[in-house]
Amino acid sequence: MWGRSLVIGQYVPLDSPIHHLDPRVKIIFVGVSIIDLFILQDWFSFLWWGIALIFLVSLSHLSFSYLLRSLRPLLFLLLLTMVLHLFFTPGEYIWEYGFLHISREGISKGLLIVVRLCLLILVTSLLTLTTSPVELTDGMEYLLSPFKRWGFPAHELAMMMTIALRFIPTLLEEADRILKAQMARGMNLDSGGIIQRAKNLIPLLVPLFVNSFKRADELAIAMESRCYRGGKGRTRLRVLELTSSDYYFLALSFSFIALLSLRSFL
Amino acid sequence: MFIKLEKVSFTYLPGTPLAIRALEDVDLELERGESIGIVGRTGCGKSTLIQHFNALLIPQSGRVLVDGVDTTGRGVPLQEIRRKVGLVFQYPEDQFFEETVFKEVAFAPRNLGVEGKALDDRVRWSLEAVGLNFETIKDKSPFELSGGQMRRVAIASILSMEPEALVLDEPTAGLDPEGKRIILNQLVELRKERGLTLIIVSHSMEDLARVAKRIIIMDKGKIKFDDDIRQVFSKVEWIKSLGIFPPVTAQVAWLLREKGFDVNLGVLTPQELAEEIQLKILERKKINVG
Amino acid sequence: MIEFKKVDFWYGEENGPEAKNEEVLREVDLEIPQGKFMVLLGRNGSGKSTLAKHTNGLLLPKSGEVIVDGMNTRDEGSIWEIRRRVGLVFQNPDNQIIATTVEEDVAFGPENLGLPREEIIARVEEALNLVGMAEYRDKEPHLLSGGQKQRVAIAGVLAMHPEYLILDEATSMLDPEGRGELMKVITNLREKIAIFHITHNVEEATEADEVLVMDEGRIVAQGKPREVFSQVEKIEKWGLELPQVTETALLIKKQFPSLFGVLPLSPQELVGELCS
Repeated sequence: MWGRSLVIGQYVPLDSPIHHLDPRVKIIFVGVSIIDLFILQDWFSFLWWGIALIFLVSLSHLSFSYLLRSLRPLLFLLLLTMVLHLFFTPGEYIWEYGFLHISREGISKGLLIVVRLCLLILVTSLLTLTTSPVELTDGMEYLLSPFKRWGFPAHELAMMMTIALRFIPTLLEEADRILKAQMARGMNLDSGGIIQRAKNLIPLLVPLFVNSFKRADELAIAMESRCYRGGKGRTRLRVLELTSSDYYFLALSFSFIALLSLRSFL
Repeated sequence: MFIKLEKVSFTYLPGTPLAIRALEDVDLELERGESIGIVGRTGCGKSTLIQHFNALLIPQSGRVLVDGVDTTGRGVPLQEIRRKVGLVFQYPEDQFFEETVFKEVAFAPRNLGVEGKALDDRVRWSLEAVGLNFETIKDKSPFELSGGQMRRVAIASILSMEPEALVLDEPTAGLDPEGKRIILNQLVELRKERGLTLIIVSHSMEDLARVAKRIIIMDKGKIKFDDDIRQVFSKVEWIKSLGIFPPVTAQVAWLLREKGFDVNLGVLTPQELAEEIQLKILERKKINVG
Repeated sequence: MIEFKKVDFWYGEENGPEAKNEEVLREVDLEIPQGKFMVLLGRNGSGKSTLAKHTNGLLLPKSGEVIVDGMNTRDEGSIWEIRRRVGLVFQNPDNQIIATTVEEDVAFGPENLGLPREEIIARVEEALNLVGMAEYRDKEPHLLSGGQKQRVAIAGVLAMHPEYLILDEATSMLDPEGRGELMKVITNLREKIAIFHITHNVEEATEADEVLVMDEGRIVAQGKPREVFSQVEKIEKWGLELPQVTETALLIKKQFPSLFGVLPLSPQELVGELCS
């Protein structure tokens, strides 16, 4: 039943220049962009950021509507932020009703902050939509490796992530099986109040946990049997290599960010 | 008519790019008291089919009638259907979650509203029906048992619902020869003593030879064969093309046929094969002597 | 050669070999030479898996020694070389594959050995070809059948260039198609590497160079397949079954004692005897 590729997270496999960029480059870009978007405060900068985003999205072969969908879960938050700023920013009031008032500054600030949030979300979504979870894990491992000398378990974390990703489809299938098995034993998920429904989780979660522990045990034995002893001395089949496209991208994006930031300081 | 399927088609994840057509226009009639084996290569739709018997899955087209009740209708009494048609999944010990065997076997009847002494009685006879000693096993943790014992407790945990039909998906999977023998014998006994309708999905024709009278062969979501078990092996090549491995005895019978021994192809066990061969040897001797 | 010298084993700290209903090993003496195809039969609980885990030092004997090519499994300095030489494939096809693609999982072993990248690529290719899974190199493991997963697991071990391949009930959870695939791989690898195949399915033992039977922690029979299966009275006691062909022959022999001086193990042998 699950005999097809499951798309995990948001990754959309396409063949675009953005998809082909080294994950490390994309991660760093997103990191720096987030910082920059917090520093910038004016409409002109955000306008340029919007243009840059449009440019990147078209390069990524993703449809705009698909990208905008990533804003949907946060719509409520955006609205709330807008409302808070609308009503609670002091300044020149243009509308009053009793003790409620909206100021010009409120409108301006509210909109600005909402736009900033949108840009942040969209830039991050661009990363997750164009980079597979495995690539992200590899990229993070590389970037965090320098911290190994201070005891940071970069390799172990990456290994955990890889194994987790490998087993997500298997676990989903298992959860489905267990659910069906308990339903075949007369368990009724729809009935009962909150407490009953919470109790109903036990026949679902306990088997999953028990099987997961057994699985973890067997995996550990299999890994040790293949001479796994942690990250020391390990080599890699899959390596990340920077290409000229990566360098161009880095150069362009950093110039863009640098120019915008300098402009706002002058 | 106990279970009836009329032109049943089923697709997983319909309307998405991942859609898979698992059942295609399936017609089937199962009577009370039958013992039926369902075979087919992995992916043929066997597991999907049996989940329609107890309304775990509802077809997108066609209908499924369980004891007269249409599972595609409104207000279907699901619990009642699932009580009547007990379904034991593959590796059923994966569904264990209780602290004691007693509680594990009591889970299903409890969901159906059985309590008190009636519940105790049910758990007792379910465990004994699978050949386990109620007193010694009831307080043990289900996770502590041997593989064969776990399998039997899992089956008991469905029997405690007092089903009228028992559907089992690969009941002997992962068991050693002794374990297999015990389970299959218990199933035969259960059918004899309680008139239970048995439906067994299995890859092992040797196993089914011990238990089933009727065989249904599936391939790519369709039923390709539905007949008495002794009729299955008259066409060995066709069977193999469907991914079914005939029992060794049938293979031998086939080879003997090619060499001129007119042996009955419907031999299911070594005993039957030996008898057939002995008969033919005697016949040959008579021909030679006479 | 893997040598077991008077190996005793039981789980838990206290108690002797009488500890509960756990698997134990009792005075096991065994030699697994290079290049042979051996099959170990036994019921569940007879000690087969416990024995398997001693071959590469996952478990250490409570008394006695396990020596692999001159190295003792107790020796911490040798254990990683031992594990390279003795490749273990386990029962559950899912719980051995850790990477997100076939290729990467087969590379796991060589990566652990710290081999250079070009070497890893070459070994992965070679191993996948040996098990017939080369076209699946980019596939995600959860899309594979049980038989395919086990072949990938074997490839993962072969990529480390072991001397011994220990299959710990590797066919027990497979359907007949999967079992057939694995037996084919075993046949292909026969001359190249020592194979120790642990199973409770007697039909898988008929082609072996040597068959062993374990019962209650001891090795109770050892010899060529025909020799072992001739011990008919004991087969059931050991929790096993005879191959159906052999069982049939014995039944026929009751009425016709002159037939089947040599017990047949395969349909061809049975038919051959009858036609002459």
